[in-house]
Amino acid sequence: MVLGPERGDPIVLRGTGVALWRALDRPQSTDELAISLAEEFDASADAVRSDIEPVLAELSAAGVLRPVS
Amino acid sequence: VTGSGPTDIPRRIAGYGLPGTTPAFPQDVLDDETWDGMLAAVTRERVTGHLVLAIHDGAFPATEDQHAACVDARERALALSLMLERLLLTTVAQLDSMKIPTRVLRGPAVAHTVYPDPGLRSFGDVDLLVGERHL
Repeated sequence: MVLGPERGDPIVLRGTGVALWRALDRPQSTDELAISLAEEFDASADAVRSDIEPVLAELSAAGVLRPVS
Repeated sequence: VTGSGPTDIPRRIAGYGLPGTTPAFPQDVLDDETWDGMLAAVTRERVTGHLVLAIHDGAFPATEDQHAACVDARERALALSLMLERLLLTTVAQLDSMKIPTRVLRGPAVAHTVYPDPGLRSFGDVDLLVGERHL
C-alpha cells in the first residue's frame, strides 16, 4: 500500500503490482521494467508492459513516482 | 504474555514476532462467531498486522475467508495510518517552516523506530508535542 505525498487515497498493490514496486528501487525505463518482470513471471514483455503502464500512470499521478532524465 | 482464553488472543497476537516470545494460539480454526469477535478485538487493539503475519507464517490457523477478512481489516488500518502520517508530515513541515520545534510521540514514532516493519504498528491518531510558548 502506497500513498502519495500530498493528496489522494492509498493505492493497494497486489501480485505483480508488488513485484513492480520492488523493481522500482532504481531508475529505469518502462521497457526495462517490462523486460525484467517478464523474465520473472515468464510472460511476454509486451503483455507485461500493457499491464504495468496503467499502474505506473496511477503511481505517477499520485506523486509516488517521478520521471528522471 | 499470559492468558489462554479467546478474549486474551489480541494480547497474544500483539506479542507475535517479538524476540523471546512464543505466544500460544489456537490449534484449530476458530468457529465463525469466535473468529468475528476475535477479529473485532484485534482490529480495536490495532494489531491486525501481527495477525496477518501469524496467519501467513502458519502460526495462527484460519480459513481462506477468515484470512481475507483479516487482510481487509489490515488494509483499512494501514490506509488510515498512511493518511494520518501524511497529515503529520505536512503539519511538521509547516511548523518547521515557522521555526516551531516539535516531537512526534507514540504511534508513528514507535512504528518507525521499534517495529521491524512499520506496517505492523497501525494507529488511529497522531500525537505531536509542541512547546507551550508556541500555542
